[in-house]
Amino acid sequence: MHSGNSMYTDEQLAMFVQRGDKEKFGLLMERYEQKLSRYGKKFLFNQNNVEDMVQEVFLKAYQNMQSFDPTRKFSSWVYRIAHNVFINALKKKLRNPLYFFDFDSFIPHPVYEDPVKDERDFEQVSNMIGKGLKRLPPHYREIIILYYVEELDYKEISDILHIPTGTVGIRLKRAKEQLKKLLPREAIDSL
Amino acid sequence: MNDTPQQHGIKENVLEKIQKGDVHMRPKVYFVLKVVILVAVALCTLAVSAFLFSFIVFSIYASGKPFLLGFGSRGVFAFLALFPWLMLVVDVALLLLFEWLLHRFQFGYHRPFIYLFLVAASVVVASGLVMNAVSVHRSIYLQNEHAGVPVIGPFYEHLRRPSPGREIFLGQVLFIEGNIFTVRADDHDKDSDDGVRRVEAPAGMDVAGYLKAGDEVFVAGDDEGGRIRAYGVTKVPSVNAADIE
Repeated sequence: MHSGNSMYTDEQLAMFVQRGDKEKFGLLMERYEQKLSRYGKKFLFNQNNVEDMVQEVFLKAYQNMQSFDPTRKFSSWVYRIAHNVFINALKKKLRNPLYFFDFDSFIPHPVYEDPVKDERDFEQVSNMIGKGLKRLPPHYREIIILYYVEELDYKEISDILHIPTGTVGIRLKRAKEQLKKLLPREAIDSL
Repeated sequence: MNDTPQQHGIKENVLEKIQKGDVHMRPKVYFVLKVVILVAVALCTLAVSAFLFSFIVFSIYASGKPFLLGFGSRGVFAFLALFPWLMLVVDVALLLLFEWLLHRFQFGYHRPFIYLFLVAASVVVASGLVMNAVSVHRSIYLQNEHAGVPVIGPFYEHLRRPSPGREIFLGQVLFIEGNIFTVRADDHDKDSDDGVRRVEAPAGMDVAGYLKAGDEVFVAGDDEGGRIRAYGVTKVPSVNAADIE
């Protein structure tokens, strides 16, 4: 039974749920519970209620399941819901207003399209994440997590954050630069 | 009693809530309606923005303000001072609202803000110019002068009136005496703003050679004890009800 269900794609499972098969929603939750919990824990440092938030994400996903278009990726759709829930949690927690205005999304960046993954870069940034991620501003922290931890591509991140793919590239570049600035010289040399 | 949510996993908690009916899936029609309303609001915003833009253009021309640009630096300063900046700010705000609404759609957020803004602004400018070309505002203006137009009528009432504090007005030459001529400011209604003014022409202007009684003129100057010392006078094409109709 379980192996039969594993043959279905996320989008097919979502279609079953849309047609009223509530149990299939359990399978989707199994696939995404760990991913969303990891995304939430890395994005929302010091928040001990990430599980509650992930539960809220799934409840919202179920409520809005009929708005999901099965021709598009389920992962982007459910991560978008998670992004909204996590951002709302951050807004409540931070005393200062959350600054998500990004001039980079105003102008085109044709150079920064989805690149071929650079293994060396991946390894280096993955090591830096453990040391300096916490000190990055939320909008830089989030894009680093989505790309280097969740391993989503530019198009998926664009759909999650609602920014052009060119902006994903430039924001990622700036996030890496800032991450390097935050770490002591020795820490970078040792990577 | 031991089955508290804390003791369950996330999946079990969510499924339990779904099975109990605590959480319901919203019907498809809810989302379809949401999109329809969003599209309707976006189109209305764009239409209002285009209408406002065309009104700004019409109001500038109807009041004769472009003639100020031919009256030297003073004229340019007066033009800038009398420009309907507030309406322009409102119009840009409407465009930004339209952009924000578009951003909720995939084609909206996949494109840089500046591209969408330029496209939307071009649509607004083109639609606004078409509205002026087919005399939408002239018709409303005349309709308002004759019978009144609800809601938007008041915006058309002051277009051809002299600007308070600035002697800038459109009128008709009644008679000429040397370098002084008398003008009747007239916005083609029976309002109290209509009145007769004596105007001293700018130095060096051959008044008799340039003007004759009955000419429609645009005058800009300073009020000096009931007489206007003009720094700019120009003839303008007659814009009266008969022409427009």
